[in-house]
Amino acid sequence: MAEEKKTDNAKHIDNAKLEDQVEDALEQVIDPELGIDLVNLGLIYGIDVEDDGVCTVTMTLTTMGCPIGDLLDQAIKRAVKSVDGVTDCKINLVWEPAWSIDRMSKFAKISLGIHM
Amino acid sequence: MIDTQKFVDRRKELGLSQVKLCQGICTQSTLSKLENNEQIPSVGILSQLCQRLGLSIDSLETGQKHPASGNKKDFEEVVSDLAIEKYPAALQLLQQMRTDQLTNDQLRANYHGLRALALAMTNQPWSAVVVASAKVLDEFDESHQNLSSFLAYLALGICLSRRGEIKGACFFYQKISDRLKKHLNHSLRNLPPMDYGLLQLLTLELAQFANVQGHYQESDQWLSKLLTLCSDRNSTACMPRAKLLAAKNAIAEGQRSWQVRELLQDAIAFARLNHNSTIEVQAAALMKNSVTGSSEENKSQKNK
Repeated sequence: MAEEKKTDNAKHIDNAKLEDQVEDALEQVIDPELGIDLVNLGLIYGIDVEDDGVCTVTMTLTTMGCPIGDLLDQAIKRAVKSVDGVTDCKINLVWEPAWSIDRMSKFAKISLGIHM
Repeated sequence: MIDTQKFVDRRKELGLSQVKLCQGICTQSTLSKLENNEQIPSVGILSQLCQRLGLSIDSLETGQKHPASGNKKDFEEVVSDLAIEKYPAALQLLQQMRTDQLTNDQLRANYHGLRALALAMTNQPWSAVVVASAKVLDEFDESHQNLSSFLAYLALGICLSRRGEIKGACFFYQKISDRLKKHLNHSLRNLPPMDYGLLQLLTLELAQFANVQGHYQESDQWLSKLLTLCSDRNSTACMPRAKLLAAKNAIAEGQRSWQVRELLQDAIAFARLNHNSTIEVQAAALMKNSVTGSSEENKSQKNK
């Protein structure tokens, strides 16, 4: 029983590590229109890696009026699956809570010359 | 919504008649309309009345929004929400409307036309857009004379354009363009606010489609018409997108960087005014990436 619990804990830690690595990978995916990566834009709401290595990225876009382009969709999946241990990637596109400038990192705001 | 009962209770508690309370502030009729939930007066009047009762305006706020009933005001709000890209708000308002309370075919056509457009703009399933559009064109506006038919055409045009079927999209945009040119030649003085808002939105979408096709001059011509429409009624809902689009046209046409910069600055200002974060960051990114600004051009801007 104790051993089982330990294994669960170890898996949990491994998954958390993978999620950190996925976040790093998503920092390399640049929004083509804005020229800033998805993490710094504040578009990534959650990253969950299951025990079978399937990663679900919960994310939004700056507006509902813009379809997630095929290229961006492919770039996200490619980046996520490049992490060792991730077997597949699912994108869960959500609109609540709505994205706003407040979600952007300080780096992104400075980069775009937006002073709040 | 205002909690008028709280207002009335407080007035009675203080032993004030309506005549006494409104003295020097407003007419008794205005006060009576407020207390009967018929019409809320201006903030200036309301704050003076509240001050006399020892209440703050905030304490009267119920936090509830008026339920959407499908009246003209609701439709105007949906049109404005779509223009400033508040898509969730537009969809929610349409969802709240009771279709069984829409009393005539024109209102039903407006409802389905706006719904088709909101669905198309937010990339909902193609079939849902077709069904909503068909309700307008085949059921509630069979003569295709009202602006609601234009909404259905636009919804179908957007769907086809986003699916890369440009030839099909052109068919619908051309229909809108032909009719809109005729509309804009007539006096628009008596046009109701919703129809006026729709004309602005349709003009903006025609400018957008012309830009996508690389017809920048045509796009600018539509934007010029839009600017007149907006300034005639002091409305700014379409302006953030219009100015950003004008900047994109200017870049594509190789205009000077200070001209582009001015358009982008306008886009940012209008976006802030209308709380449109998306256009604000898009304009900021375009400013960063496209406006390199040679020193000569900087000088010419300073001398302007």
